[in-house]
Amino acid sequence: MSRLALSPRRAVLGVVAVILAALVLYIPQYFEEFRVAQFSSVIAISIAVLGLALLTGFNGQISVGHGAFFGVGAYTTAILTADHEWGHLSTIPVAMVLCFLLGVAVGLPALRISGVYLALVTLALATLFPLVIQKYSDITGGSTGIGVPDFEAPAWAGGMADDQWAYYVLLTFAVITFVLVRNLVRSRVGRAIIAIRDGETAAEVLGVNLAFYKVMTFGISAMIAGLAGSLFVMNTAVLDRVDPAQYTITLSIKFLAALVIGGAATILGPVLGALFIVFVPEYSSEVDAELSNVIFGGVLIALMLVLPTGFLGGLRRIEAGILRRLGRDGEWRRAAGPDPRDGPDAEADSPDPGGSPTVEPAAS
Amino acid sequence: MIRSNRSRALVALLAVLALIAAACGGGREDSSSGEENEAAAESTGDEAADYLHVDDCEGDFTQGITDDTIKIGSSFPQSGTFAAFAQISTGYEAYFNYVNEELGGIDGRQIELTALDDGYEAGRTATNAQRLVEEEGVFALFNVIGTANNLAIWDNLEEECVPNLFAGTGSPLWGDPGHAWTVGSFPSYSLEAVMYARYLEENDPTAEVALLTQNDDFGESYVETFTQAIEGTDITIVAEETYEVANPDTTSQVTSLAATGADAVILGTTALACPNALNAINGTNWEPAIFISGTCTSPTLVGLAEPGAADGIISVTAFKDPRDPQWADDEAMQLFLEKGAEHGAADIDLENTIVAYGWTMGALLVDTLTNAAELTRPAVMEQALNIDNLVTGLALPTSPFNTVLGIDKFPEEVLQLMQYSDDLGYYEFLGEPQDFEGQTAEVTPESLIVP
Repeated sequence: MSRLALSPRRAVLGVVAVILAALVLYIPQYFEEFRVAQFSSVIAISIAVLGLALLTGFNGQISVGHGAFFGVGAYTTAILTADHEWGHLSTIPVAMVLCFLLGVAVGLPALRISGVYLALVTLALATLFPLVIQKYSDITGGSTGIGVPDFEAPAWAGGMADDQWAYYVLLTFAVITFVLVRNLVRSRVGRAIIAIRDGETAAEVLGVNLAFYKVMTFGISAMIAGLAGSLFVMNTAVLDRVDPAQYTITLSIKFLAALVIGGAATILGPVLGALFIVFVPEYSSEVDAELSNVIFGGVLIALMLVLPTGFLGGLRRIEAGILRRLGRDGEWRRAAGPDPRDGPDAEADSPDPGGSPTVEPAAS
Repeated sequence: MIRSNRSRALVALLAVLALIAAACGGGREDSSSGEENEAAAESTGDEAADYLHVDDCEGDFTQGITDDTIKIGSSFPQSGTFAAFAQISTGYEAYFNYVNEELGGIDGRQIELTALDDGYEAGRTATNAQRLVEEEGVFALFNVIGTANNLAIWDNLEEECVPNLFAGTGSPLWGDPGHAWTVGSFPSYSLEAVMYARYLEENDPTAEVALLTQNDDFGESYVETFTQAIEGTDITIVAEETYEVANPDTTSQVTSLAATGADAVILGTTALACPNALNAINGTNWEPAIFISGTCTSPTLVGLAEPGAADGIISVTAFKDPRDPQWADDEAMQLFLEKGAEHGAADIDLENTIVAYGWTMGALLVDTLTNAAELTRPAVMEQALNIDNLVTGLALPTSPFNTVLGIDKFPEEVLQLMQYSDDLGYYEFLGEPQDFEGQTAEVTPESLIVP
């Protein structure tokens, strides 16, 4: 089908997208401050998980240490705004550059290791972060932490409340980041990144510079996580404090869980994953506070059994199942994508979780 | 090519957002006007109004007070590794039920408590506190557990002038006059450390001491205060070990400390690290005098230690131990045992000092609300900052609650040293109570007080 043709399917999706955009923009007008701040934290976390998706989902390098990059971004912004009176937004480039360098620094030795071993090294990074924070307590406030100055709505924002302002700022950064990453993933660079995940030897034989791309991806992924941490801290309407207990190994594991829940090598999966890890603990607490962690773990396990490829993978299977039932197999199956029974992650469109490199889009 | 994955994502997101909107509800309102506030603020004394910067306050001073209810909110760990502290709430919930059902509430108003779970995570405490104020419309926050957790909320509560009453932590930070709307409850950890130093000075003046503390400001309170307190004495610290909050397994740290053969060890530990450390020490052939944090002493925690591991441990308290026979005929204790059984949850543990502490907190709150000039936030806060030698609930008669506006923001500064006996099954008092009234700021190293 030509890209410009307006099929009924595309029209429906267009409407869905518009409704979704409207809802997302309306959130700060509808919900109370603490809820809006919660959604803002979802946005920040989804950016971090997007960074992780780039590295782990699209490039195949496992990281259980993204909480550390997130924390570096967060503390950079906290320290600069609290102790050096920087404006909040101007700390973002500093956080991003720092995290990029840190990511490259980790990515270089990571060239020699992969899989479980890389996971362990990144785990060490995540474990070290709070300890380093506590050691250099003169700069970082140690275990007491640092109070972050309020991120206030500017005068020209027409009387917007601080929490609403933070939400829109974070949303803007998120949209830009998601678009950029999506474009990256669909470009030649993106194909190289994915090719490395799918088969290093083959990629190298085809002329892909392994070392360069792997290290770059680590750097960019860390940079995105650092941006996310920086933005997270600007959400001061409810939480205006950084302390090392907020940035422990648990956070890194939650990011990984969010990645897998949403759909490991997808662009919008991180948003679903972030929604999950922010809201489900609250709901499970309301169901039964004592068992809330058990419930959370149980839901996670159930999801992994029922939807091993995350929400988006599961939706694809549901859709394919419905279409099969409708009997509109032939033409619609081509449109909907390859039969998931052919392989766990076979995808039709963007260079997403791919089984083999032959399932590539014709147009991009 | 149709971007099918993105379309699925859009549909999924739409569904999820719709779900959340339905479940959470909206309810965004503009903050209420300050007119009622001016009238309410008049009843507060000038000094208090100044200290509480009443003129800058934005929120509603009578939010949460209706003709027949007083809404109170709390946030504490009901799940996770710190869930032991949730037992505190069984104590004050029982007390509130008793007051509501038998005494007709406070001035005819029933106390309505909303308690949210934060899993000891500061970020969730912050969300809970805002939610309690915005969505539940509580009058005040009460007994929020955790130092980091209270730090995460005290700025916002200060700005919105919401009382953060009787925080469930003994950090010396709550003495900060810059956060007038936050008051602590638990005796400061720094006072404990000073008491242990003085005890050693008297009983083992050349003692070699090992320290095992949690690697955060809770543990640091013990380390820094003890170090300062032994200056000029012959007591020496021969080893220091720490453990991470997330990992209460202290076996390797204890092994290192045991190798020094120190005469005494100070355990600046809390929650599950308490029984863990005691078991670890018990497993070596090291037999130091063990001083353990006052937050550990309840049977909930020490009770998890192996038989004999807790025998002889020394700690401090400001509250009566229900198992101690010296209180068998005590009126307050009998009230607790009787009414606690009647009005408490079916599984309330009335022999547990942690529940006794909760009961006492409930009594302290009720007394504060009752004695306040009127039920407005500034007036109640003024009362909380001016508690005049009040022995309530199960506080020891030698440990009254006492605060003085602008001078002494620490309610509990008289501590009783005590020693656990396995044979007796309760803590025996050691010596006379130590009175630090008004001195917490003095004896605490400055680095611990400035936030």
